Amino acid sequence: MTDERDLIARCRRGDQRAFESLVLRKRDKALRIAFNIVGDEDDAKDIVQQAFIRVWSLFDSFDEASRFDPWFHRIVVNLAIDHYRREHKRMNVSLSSGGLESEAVPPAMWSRQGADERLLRDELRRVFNRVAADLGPIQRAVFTLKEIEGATTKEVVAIMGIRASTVRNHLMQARRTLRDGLRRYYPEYFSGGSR
Amino acid sequence: MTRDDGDRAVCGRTDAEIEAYLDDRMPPARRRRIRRHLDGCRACFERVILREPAHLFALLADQQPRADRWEGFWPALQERLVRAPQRPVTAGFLGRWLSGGRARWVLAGAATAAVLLFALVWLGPAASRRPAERLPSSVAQAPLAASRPMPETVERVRTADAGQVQVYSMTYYTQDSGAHPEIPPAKLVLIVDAGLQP
Repeated sequence: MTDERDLIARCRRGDQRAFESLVLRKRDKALRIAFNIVGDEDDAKDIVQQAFIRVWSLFDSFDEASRFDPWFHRIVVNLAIDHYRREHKRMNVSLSSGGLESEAVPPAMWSRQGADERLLRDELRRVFNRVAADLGPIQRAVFTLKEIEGATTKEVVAIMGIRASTVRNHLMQARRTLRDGLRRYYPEYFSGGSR
Repeated sequence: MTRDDGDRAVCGRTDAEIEAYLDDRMPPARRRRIRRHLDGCRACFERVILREPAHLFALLADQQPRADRWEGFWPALQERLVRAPQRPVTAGFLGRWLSGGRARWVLAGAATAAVLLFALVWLGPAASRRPAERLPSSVAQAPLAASRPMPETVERVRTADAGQVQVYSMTYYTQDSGAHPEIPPAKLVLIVDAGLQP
């Protein structure tokens, strides 16, 4: 933490090498969050770049006494939500013509020894993009932070600037929508071999 | 206790807490411990997704971007940084000191000081100014102090009834209208003192 504080202090003084180190350190999680909200890797990378540009230009308004990650993730999430709102219609069209149902992999394979993990995760990614297309941007962001990234409610509140009860409501609605999507598009996930 | 026994004990505790975990009814530290266990224990994870299928997507957290995904990311970011609006220059001590939450307090203090200064400069003298000295605004702009004449005092003696004599005096000065000839001089008589003398 002290190391990170020092890095951030150097960034605030305009040290580009320190900023490059910060980018290397923070970009993976930022990309995952943006990717899970917008559903497109190129768009997510662009959002992460925009987020870093904002961080660089807004460093002077960052309070060094507070934690960097919630502040940075808030920028990422807000950019991703804005992007999702703009692109949601287009995404719906492309996903509905994607024909992903035939590629579904039953959940039994998740625990199969020797299975190609990457292939399964790519498949899970496609399934998520398909069923999460019915989520609103806030629900999708809350689900991403809480269920995928494992953030606590308090952390989600800090990142999104909404109340804890609102976080819980959005999470419940998101789970219900995703459950319904799985049941509708991927029924094998309910009858599959995880039992 | 063997390692398997230990694992079984953790799995048993996790199983008992799945509902609380899914309903977010546990302290954050406990929640993080269960999450770590679920990330490594496929059996417990599958028990969780049986209760809440949407939790299946928690597996997406494990996905690390491939290294080649970041090729060209930093040069492109640098290029965009050059094109982006310049960040404000606050490299000095004052800039750093003012950064974060301090700037708001400094601004609030400066605004309060400005209001107080205004009150002292304008409202203070205005409050103590006597009504007789108030002039039309156009006159107020004239350099009164520079052209103010010496006051004059007159004494008048008046014979009252039954042979009594009253003496009264009045001290006054007139303001030369100067650059404001349109203002009648009579309106510029300022009475400094007046009263009956014994």
